[in-house]
Amino acid sequence: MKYTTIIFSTILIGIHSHAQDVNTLIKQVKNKLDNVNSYIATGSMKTSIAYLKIPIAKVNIQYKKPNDLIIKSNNGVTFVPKGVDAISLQKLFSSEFTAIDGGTEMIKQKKLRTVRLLPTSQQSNIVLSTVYINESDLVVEKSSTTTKDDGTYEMEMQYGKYIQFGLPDRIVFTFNAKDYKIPKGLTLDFDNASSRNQKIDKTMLNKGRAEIVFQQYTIN
Amino acid sequence: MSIWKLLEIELYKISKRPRTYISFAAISAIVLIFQFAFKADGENYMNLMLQGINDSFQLDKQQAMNGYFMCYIILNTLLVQVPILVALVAGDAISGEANMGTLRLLLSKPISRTEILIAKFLASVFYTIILLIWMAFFALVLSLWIFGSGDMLVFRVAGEVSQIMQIAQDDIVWRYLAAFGYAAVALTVIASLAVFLSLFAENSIGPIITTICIVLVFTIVSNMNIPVIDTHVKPFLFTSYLVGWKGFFYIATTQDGIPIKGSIEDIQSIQRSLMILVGHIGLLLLLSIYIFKRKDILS
Repeated sequence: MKYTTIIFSTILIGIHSHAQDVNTLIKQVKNKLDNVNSYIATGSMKTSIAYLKIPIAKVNIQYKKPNDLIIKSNNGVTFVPKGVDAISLQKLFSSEFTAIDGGTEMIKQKKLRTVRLLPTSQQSNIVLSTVYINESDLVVEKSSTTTKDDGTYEMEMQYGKYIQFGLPDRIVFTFNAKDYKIPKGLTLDFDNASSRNQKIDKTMLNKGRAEIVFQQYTIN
Repeated sequence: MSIWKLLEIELYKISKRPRTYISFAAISAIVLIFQFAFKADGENYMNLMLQGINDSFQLDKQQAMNGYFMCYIILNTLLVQVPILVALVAGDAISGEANMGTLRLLLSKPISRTEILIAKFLASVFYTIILLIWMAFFALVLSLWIFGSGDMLVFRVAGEVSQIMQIAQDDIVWRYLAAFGYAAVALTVIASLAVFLSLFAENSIGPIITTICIVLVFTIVSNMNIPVIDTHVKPFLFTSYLVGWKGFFYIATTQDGIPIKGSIEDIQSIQRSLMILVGHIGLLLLLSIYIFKRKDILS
């Protein structure tokens, strides 16, 4: 009985201290991000989904604390995926949540701490977020978020010269999109001959990808 | 008398006929109505084309609805109707002379029948080209002035797949020049057909109506999506190739789906279509010359 009590106590203390570690880690990451009040970044965005044949767009990304993120094109028409404002991690950390330690994982030869974030508010659009944190640099390298309305989206970040602000040089944002279908009568297209040459990956019809490469940040 | 002098005379005759200007008025009216409608309520049209996309993407629709896009929409709709306008003038080429009783007088002059027919054919082609230039001015230049310029979105249904292609602003003008060039060849087929049919009539109503009927029936069949018609009928209808101008806007892409500037997805298909159309023109013209040379004008 004495030994059982000691073992249970050790486990509980261990869990408690680990949970504290995760909360501290999240707080440290959040503090790092909070150092940035606003920024304007220039870069390029490559949006890929089976039914869109669009060029790489030159974009301006403006962020203002706490949750304002606008992506604008410098020239031309730009298809901006809905939910792409999630690339601002400040938004993710600004809501109240419970952090659960998911242990560590090796991703691209990096040992990352997995943390699951469960929003405490019933009204939150986010159901569950999993973030993979680089503990030495205190940055989020990867995240996966399941929402009530916008499906699941994933992000992978690469950091460079703005790592001290927790701002990535490159983000790959993967999202769910609806299928696109317009009636032939609207386009007056009856080119079945050329349609035979169409090679479309049907698995990619509902899976979109936006790759944002940041060239320069102006941080305030 | 040189063929150029004959052409000059034919163009003078065309310019003096009121029906010549019906086409110009019709094109101006249709284009202006389109532009007014899109200026007033274009966003609804854009929403219709982007149904499904709106749920997944944000897009500045006003920027997308620019002059280049407008011109494409107008041409898409109008180039199906323009053959009717071409037939109005070309169908009158020989039958109009017969109707007025001037054919015998004309053929009694020391000019070969071949020269007369070629002059009439060239005059119809010239009229077609002027009509296209008029359309280009209204549909492209005026639309650019009203709606501004920018990257162009092309909505396409290829088989079962719907697509949106984006062409960069600096990669569009040459495509329109090529498309109008293609349309000139396509409409010349209609002019050739109308001139050919006008050889058999004593008044211009017959060849005009017959040309319109042929174009309508062939267009309807060309637009049917029935496999047996796709393979066994469509390749033999010239109307299947009339919309080939759109091929200039189907831009080739990299494996990642990034459009390649200055490229065309299927240039061979456009070349083949052009060859078939030119073949039709040649065949109809040769047949017309053959029949016109043997035409009995005494009875």
